[in-house]
Amino acid sequence: MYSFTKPKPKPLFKEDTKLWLIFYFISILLFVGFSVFLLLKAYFYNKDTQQINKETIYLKQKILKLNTQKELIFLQKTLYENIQIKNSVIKTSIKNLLDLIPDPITLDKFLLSQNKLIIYGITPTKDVYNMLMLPPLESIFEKTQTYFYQLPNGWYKFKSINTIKADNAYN
Amino acid sequence: MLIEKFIKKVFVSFYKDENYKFLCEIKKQNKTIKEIKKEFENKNELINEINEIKEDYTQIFISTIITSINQGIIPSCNKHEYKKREIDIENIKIVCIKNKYSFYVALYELLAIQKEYPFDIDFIYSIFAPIDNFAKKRDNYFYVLILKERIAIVGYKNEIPIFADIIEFENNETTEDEEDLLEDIDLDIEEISEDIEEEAEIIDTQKDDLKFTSIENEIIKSLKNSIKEYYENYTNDFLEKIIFLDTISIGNNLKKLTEDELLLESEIIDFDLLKEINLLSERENV
Repeated sequence: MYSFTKPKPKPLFKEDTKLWLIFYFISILLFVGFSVFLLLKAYFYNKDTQQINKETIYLKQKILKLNTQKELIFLQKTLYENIQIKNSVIKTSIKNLLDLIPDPITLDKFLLSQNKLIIYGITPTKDVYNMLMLPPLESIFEKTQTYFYQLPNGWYKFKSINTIKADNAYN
Repeated sequence: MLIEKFIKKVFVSFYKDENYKFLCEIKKQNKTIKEIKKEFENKNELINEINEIKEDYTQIFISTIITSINQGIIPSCNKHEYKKREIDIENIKIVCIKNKYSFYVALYELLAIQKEYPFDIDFIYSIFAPIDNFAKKRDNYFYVLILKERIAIVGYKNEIPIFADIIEFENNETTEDEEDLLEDIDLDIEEISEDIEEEAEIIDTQKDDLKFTSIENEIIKSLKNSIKEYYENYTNDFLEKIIFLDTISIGNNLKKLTEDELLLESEIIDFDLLKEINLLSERENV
């Protein structure tokens, strides 16, 4: 306002102060940068941890499910094996039964249950039946009942009911 | 800038009177935190002092005033006014204040003061600037800035400085008659027995009074001429008061003399010229 001259622009800092300030600024920048890096690292680490925890929970649940499935499969396997054993026993039993049938006797049908065998067939005579068929049946089953019905040609239709104790059923 | 608030600003002012007066004010957020006031007998000491300060601070503002007679005030900013008064505007530097009045200085004075010191001077003011800045009552008032070697007078009318003058004392030392008188007093002192110290002190006081009287007489003599010129060429209105801005601790005799010799009311105010210069610079720097 009053001055005949105007001042030259003044630097805010001396040259060496400027150098120091740059040095401090770079140091602070590095420090802040490193802090930010650590913070980000920690953030992503936490995020990964959470993700892993979630995956762990999911996998644990999956393991439980698989275990259940495994038990079921084991159960199915056991059941399958049982059925297979049963089938093979039945197969053997039928084979044995058919081996028992003597040539003169013809079978119409037979019903096989767990502890009972019912045989329908035709025999030329009661004696043929009693001689050839009955003894092996009696040796296998505990109780054997036979009913005869004479046909017009003189032959006999028969029904043989053979029972066995449940414990010995497939042995 | 925000950061500027936290950086110390150093305002250095100086001027040459009978020696070099120097003031350094270190400020932070407009508060003075350190003040160094010194006087130097030679220029090199002043230069060394300023260079030392410049080594420590960057925001340093150096100010001074031009005390030579090649300057003045014109109660207008219009260049025609300068031409009317036969002032060559090509060779002066003008500062217009509030678009009402202006200060001017001869360009060669400005260049001379810049060449005189090896450091950059940021603000160079007219000797009248601190007076104008200080003057509160500005109607029919005379402000007289008293230095050891000169006085600067500014006369105000209707808020505007219409008259300005610088009077350099031809001989700041005592006049020949006064020298004779002083010699007589010195002889008297020799004659008086050394044991009578009290009397010697009285004589010393008389001697000092005589010295002061010479400066005061010079001031009154100069003022008489200035007032005469003021009434003759500037206005017919009577002056109300003379305000002495005292930088040399002149004492109350001047007030008495003014009232007796000039028949005018007066007031002497202790004036810290260096502080006033810094105040101007601070304001310029805002």
